[in-house]
Amino acid sequence: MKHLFSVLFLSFLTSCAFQAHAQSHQLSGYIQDEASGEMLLGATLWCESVQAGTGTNAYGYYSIALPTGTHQLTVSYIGYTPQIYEVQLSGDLKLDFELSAGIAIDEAVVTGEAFNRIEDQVQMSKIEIPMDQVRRLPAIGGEVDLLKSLQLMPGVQSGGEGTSGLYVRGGSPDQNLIILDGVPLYSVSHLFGFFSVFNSDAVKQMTITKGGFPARFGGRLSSVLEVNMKDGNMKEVHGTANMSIIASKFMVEGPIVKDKASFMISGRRTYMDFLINPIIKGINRRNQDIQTNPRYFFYDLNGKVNWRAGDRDRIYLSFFNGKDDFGLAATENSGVSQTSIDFTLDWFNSVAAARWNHEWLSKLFSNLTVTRSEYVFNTGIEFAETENAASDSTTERFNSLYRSGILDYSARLDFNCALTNAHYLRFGGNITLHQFNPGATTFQAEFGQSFPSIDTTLGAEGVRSVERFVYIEDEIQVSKRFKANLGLHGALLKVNGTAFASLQPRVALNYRLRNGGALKASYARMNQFVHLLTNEGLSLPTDLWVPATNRIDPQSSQQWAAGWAKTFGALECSVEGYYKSMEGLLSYREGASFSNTVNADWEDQVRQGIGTAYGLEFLLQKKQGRTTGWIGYTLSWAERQFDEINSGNWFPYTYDRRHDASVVLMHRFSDHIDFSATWVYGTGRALTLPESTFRAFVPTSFTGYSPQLNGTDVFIPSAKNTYRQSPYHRADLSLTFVKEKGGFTRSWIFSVYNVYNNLNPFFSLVDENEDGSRSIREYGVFPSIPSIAWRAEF
Amino acid sequence: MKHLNLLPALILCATGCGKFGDGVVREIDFPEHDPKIAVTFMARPLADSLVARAHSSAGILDSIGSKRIKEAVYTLEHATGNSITWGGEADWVEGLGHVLTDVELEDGNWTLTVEAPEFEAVTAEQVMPPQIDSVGIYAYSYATAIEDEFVEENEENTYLSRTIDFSLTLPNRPDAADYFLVRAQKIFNWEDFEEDEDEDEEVKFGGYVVLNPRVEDDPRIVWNQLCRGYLIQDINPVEALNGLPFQLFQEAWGPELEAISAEPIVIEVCAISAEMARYYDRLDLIQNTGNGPLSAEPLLAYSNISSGYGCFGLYTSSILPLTFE
Repeated sequence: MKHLFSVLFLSFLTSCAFQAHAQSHQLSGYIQDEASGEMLLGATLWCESVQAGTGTNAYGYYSIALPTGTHQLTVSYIGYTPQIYEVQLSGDLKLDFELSAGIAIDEAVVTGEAFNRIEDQVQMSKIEIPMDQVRRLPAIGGEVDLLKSLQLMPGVQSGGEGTSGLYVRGGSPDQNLIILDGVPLYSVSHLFGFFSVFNSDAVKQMTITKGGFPARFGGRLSSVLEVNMKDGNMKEVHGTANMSIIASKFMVEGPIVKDKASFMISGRRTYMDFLINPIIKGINRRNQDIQTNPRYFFYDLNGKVNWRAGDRDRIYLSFFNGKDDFGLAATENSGVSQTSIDFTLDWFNSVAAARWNHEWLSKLFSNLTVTRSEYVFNTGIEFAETENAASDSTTERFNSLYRSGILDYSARLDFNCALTNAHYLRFGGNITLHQFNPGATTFQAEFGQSFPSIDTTLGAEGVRSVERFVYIEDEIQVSKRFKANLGLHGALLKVNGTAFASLQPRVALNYRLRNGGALKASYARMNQFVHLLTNEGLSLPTDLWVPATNRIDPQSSQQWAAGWAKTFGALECSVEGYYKSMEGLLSYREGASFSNTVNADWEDQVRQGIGTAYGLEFLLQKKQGRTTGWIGYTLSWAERQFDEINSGNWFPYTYDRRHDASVVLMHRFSDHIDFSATWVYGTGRALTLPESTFRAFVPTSFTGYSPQLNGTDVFIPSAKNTYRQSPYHRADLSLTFVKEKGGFTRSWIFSVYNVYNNLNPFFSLVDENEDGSRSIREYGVFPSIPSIAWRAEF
Repeated sequence: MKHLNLLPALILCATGCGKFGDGVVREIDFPEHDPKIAVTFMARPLADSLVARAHSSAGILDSIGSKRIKEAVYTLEHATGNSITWGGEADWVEGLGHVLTDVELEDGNWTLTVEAPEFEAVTAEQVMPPQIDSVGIYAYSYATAIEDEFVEENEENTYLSRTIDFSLTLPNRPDAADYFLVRAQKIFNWEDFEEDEDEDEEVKFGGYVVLNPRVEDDPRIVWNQLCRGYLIQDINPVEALNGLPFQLFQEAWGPELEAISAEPIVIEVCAISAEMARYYDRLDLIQNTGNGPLSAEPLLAYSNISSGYGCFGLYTSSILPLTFE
């Protein structure tokens, strides 16, 4: 490794010396959508005369060095008509380019000048699904979900039927860094994981990186999911409204000052509570003695303001709020007494960010981000009983509230420096103050007049930690055929007087073959200072975020990946193999779960272990044209070992999935009719099941009062995750009818989830049969689900 | 265009809902189970009688389940070569198990062997813990104080409730791990109580005692539902078990205050082997965690029986009678 860095450092010096002699000027600026002024992230600019190109960064900014003279520049972006511009350079020049969307129906012309094809990118293991395709995918209940669309990609798996959790290359859900406009999110689920918090109408772009992580990313082991919200239309007011059987949502964007400042606001809310209430009222009318009142809703709200403060400055302010609220109240009235019970479970995310982009020189661009991110989970129960005597009434009341959460304040400064066309340098740093509240329970009780009241709080010990990192990475054009991205990420966590430091080298290599394809390889060491205490069976809001402490080590991983990629006309093809080793993985100890962590020290309830994951991924993708889609296949293994779990033996991870395949097809019959279909297949989930039973006994007395024994049946489980659920497979269809009239575009979207009604296993139970025998059965809960949604755009 | 509107309806008809039924996807097949002997034998040095049980393990789908093995023969052999053998049909007492009478076990290492026709013989080894008592080298000590008392008397009945601070010091060897089981019992002279002929009449004599640690979540003191007591472990070697703070809550009712307040509260204190502590700790965890999708990590039962299941445990015990008048 040291030798490699020496060679590349030498190449860096040689390249700089060469560039210093050439008379070159810097061309820089932004590439944006012509109609809306929206920045295009990852758009490319190619100069044929010097055979050099560049791409826009995460803020739509580009910078390229070109010699004096006139140049033809091809500017392109997926879904947009490539434009050719002629530029005369005699000095540094700042120039913004605009592209217009409009090659959706006709087959795409993939220009030879395209710079950012899969084989050109040094970065491997990165997937981007155009938002236009995400919105066209079939969706359960008509509610399009970003994370579920990612689950259709190789190397990314779902946690279970209908859920939006991501399991990337054998990693756990907490190992995914999910960033919304630069702010890490800790919980991204609504409705107990069935929907993600992202409103697809408000999102401009999303990319997921599964390996070969550039040095600018850190803090998680398995993936980085970047979600960027729309900046807001700079030209005119536009909006969308969408109604499905699950929820309604809207998005409005427009200029505050034309071409200077814009806004975007979007919201979504379920109406399950409104739909259920009349039914519940009807039931309550028939049974006056017992009144029940279940409730559930979720909402999310996104907003963003984008201000061009000058030629060199842009300021973005954004926020996101999302909440789920579940409750069940019941009251029983017997005339002389009234008993009521009220159970609540709610969780919410609140994030806010301010970003300042500044172009210092034509080569140097910076972004400063200041963020606040909060996740809070509450669950409580309130019980009250009132006795109505003739002369007096007494009330006994008891309530308990459990509250956990995490609050982060963070500041991050990134620099992008187009040092030469052969060196694109990125460096920066970040500081985050974490306040973990792993759980506090408040009890309050009134017992009439006979006993004193109780008001106490248990387990309120919060943990504060400060996490810092710095990074530097250089994307190097070593030779005409060889590119590299070398980087170093250094991180430090201080918590309760203990410090954890790590140096994480990152290497990504790309060698262009003579036939046009590319061989790629990468190595990344990652470190993670936070853990998610979760039950492997189902991801719930009860999952606790906890920090590394003096008793709990951070997680770390090393991932090696190698692959081949090539574009065949409109088709991108890639094959990648990976091997990942992980340390410091956290699991509840045997027999522990959230319920016995509530009043106990969570550090006593967990164990740490190691894991490996390896596999092969294949992806064939068509992103443009009338017919688009992809075929993905993953062959993988994921195993874990904990000294005090499964007798210390290695076991398959719950989401170890030998085969995982998906086929996605989208076709536009015309401007008015759009069709999409998906089919997925996955090996069944690994399970631990009770295999046998024996009768155990406890003496009723240990001191001789009675020699009797009390018997109890004990189930003996199999070795951990020995069994498998049935394989999972499902097909979904969607058909959209579009009509335009008077500046409005209206769409009716018909979709069917699980179209051939294959009842996939959701959970397994030991059942007692009528004859006393037992059976272990798999149960499915999702049959065919048709749905209809309506969408309007203006 | 119009015919395309029919497409969604056709798809919905084609899917049907008949397959959903009761939600069962399939039944999971299991390999044939090879039955093994599961033993429970917990012994102390001196006892009029002790009970051993041997059962066969059973496959999870076996409708009969775990069956008792009446033919089981137990041999308890001391390191010196002394041995005791009992079991078989002759020693089987219905409702109890294989009863060993007039027990006198000396200190040191003991090996239990259980044999039964058609089963592989199983063995387990144990070391007798030191005798726990109020005197001697392995002695406990305690202190009590009534913290609160409430008495309500009327013509027919007397009600008493007491909160008693109870501090317990247990022996702690510097060179060995010590495990204890502590539990409370209220002993009543039930033979003195004559049931009222009128069944509707309320019971006028009763009571219970609850023993609670005064420190929440003390890792040394863990409640065990199966044993109905606290498993106590010397997590730190030095003075870890000095003055363990407990609180006793006593409620009693009966015809006379004098009679009910004089009834002793019995605290059982047992010094148990590490294997016995692990066995009951693990069993308790298994019994109190489900197997649904929200359940805890699955547990393997602890066993010190080679080639089988269950536990052979040795313990010494003592009684603290607490009397408050």
